[in-house]
Amino acid sequence: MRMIEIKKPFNNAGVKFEVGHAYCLAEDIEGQLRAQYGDAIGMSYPIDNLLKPYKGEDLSGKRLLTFRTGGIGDIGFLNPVLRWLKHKYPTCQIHAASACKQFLENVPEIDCLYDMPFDAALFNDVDYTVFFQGILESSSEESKKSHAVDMFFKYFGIDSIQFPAEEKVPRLFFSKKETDWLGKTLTTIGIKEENYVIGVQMETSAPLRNFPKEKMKMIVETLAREDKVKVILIGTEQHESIGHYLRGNNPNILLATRYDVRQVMTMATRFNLIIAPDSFMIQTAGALDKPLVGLYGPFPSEVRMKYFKNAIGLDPSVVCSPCFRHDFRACIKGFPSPCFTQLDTDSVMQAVDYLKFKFTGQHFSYMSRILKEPNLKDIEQYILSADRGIAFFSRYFKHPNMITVDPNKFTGAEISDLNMVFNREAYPFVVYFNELQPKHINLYNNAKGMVRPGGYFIVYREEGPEGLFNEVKVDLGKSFTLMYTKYDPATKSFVVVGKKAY
Amino acid sequence: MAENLDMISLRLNQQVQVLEQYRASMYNSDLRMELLMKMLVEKGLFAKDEFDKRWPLFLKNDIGAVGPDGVMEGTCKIHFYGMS
Repeated sequence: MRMIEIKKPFNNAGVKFEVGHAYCLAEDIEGQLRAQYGDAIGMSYPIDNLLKPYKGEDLSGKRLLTFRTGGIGDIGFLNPVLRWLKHKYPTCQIHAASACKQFLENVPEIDCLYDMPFDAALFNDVDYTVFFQGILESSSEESKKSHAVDMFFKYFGIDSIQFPAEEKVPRLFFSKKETDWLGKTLTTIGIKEENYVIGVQMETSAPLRNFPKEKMKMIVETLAREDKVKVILIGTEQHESIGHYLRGNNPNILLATRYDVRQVMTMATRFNLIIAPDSFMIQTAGALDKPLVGLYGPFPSEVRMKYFKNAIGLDPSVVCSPCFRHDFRACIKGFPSPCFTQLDTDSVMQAVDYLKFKFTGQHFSYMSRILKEPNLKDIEQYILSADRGIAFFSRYFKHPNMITVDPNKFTGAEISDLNMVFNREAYPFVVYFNELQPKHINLYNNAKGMVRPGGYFIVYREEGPEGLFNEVKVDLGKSFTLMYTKYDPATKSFVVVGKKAY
Repeated sequence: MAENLDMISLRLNQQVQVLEQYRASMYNSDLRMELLMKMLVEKGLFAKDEFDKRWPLFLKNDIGAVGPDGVMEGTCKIHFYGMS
């Protein structure tokens, strides 16, 4: 950070620079201003001598200045810290300055809020300063394990580990003018009370963190086909081309690229659900307690989302993720970041449905394919033959006599970890649903060994080719006595039941 | 001074070129690393220990190569927060 002297007055981005004053700003902004207003700017100095570092002292009756340039979401992490300080020291005066102050506007704990650059005379008016740039960007080992809010608390000398989660969530406050604007705008863009409104942030400020747009399009289009659903695509004017690509001709998809950040935050109060990559809409959703699906790649969702309510974070589990790169360049392995290949649209859609079902008790219609129950009437006698058996990849299907195993966490299966130790010869029957892909061949073979002598191994498959049915029959015939086989050419579903010898 | 800056700039450009070539090379991570080291040492841009120091992230990212189809090997982890 630097302080610049002003020789001639000028205005830049709403900030008045007056002669005789000095202004505090980031180095890169100084460079930009000098390029534009060179002869109006005098000497510049480091600000180190002006700082009065706060190290956890009693703030009663004192004035504290906190400042950081940005970004929008990062400033949200400051919000709980200031709330805590004001609660502990009600008589303290809190001054805050940021180039991205949207998260701090109307916050009751802040006495004075300034844009950046701000008048350096402010340093003389306060008792303590906290300049908290670089806490997250340092990529320290701590920042990789701790939630960003805990990092901010620690920077203020406060141990927040024991604080309840709700005290670590940012809060947003809106003026009457903003809420009035929202009412008019919703009418203008055609959002009605019965609409289920989903806000989707299209991109972040860093290509590294951007979710692949082809996948985003599939998600957006599927959601917009649902009854009474309106999808609002959030971005800036520079996102209009991608917005048009995502929207196509669907009237249920609306572009929100001409609103400022505060307006988008105000609009988010009407959203029923938010889908966002790692950016400010994640923090906005958390601040408003909105159901949230976070799409993460270079950073783990845990260090940004874990204190939120009703939030689902999707993280890729690949060897180089999380890489914790704070970078405005694309991933060196390609664009979009290849770790996002592990975030499939099906998981995102199920996450969205999970949250909708939690609040409305209704599923989206696209879930009918996934929620479809298997037709077990032909094999129910084997399932009811003895006490509880085990079923692999049962999806959302539950049966009182089955222990369900499915790695898909949305299904609510009793076991979701396929790597857990399953006992050999422990179950009176094992049902193996649908997953006959080569990557699960070891699990399939191991599952056959879990059947106890005299028990049954049942393979159930929907929409499978007849060739696969014959392969399964031959395979089970090697180690089981085939009890029942059926292939239905109409539905292309098949079932094979083998009995294990005593 | 200006000359020195030019030299540094050239050196950095060469490094970037090498890394670009490395990126564009094959998908086998072992072979890629071998190729990279060969290029670095032969071109004399910087020694291996300097490379290790300056490009740790690059080395880290070398693990888990992206397949020709653009897909990276791994799984998707789902985390539920504040669901109670």
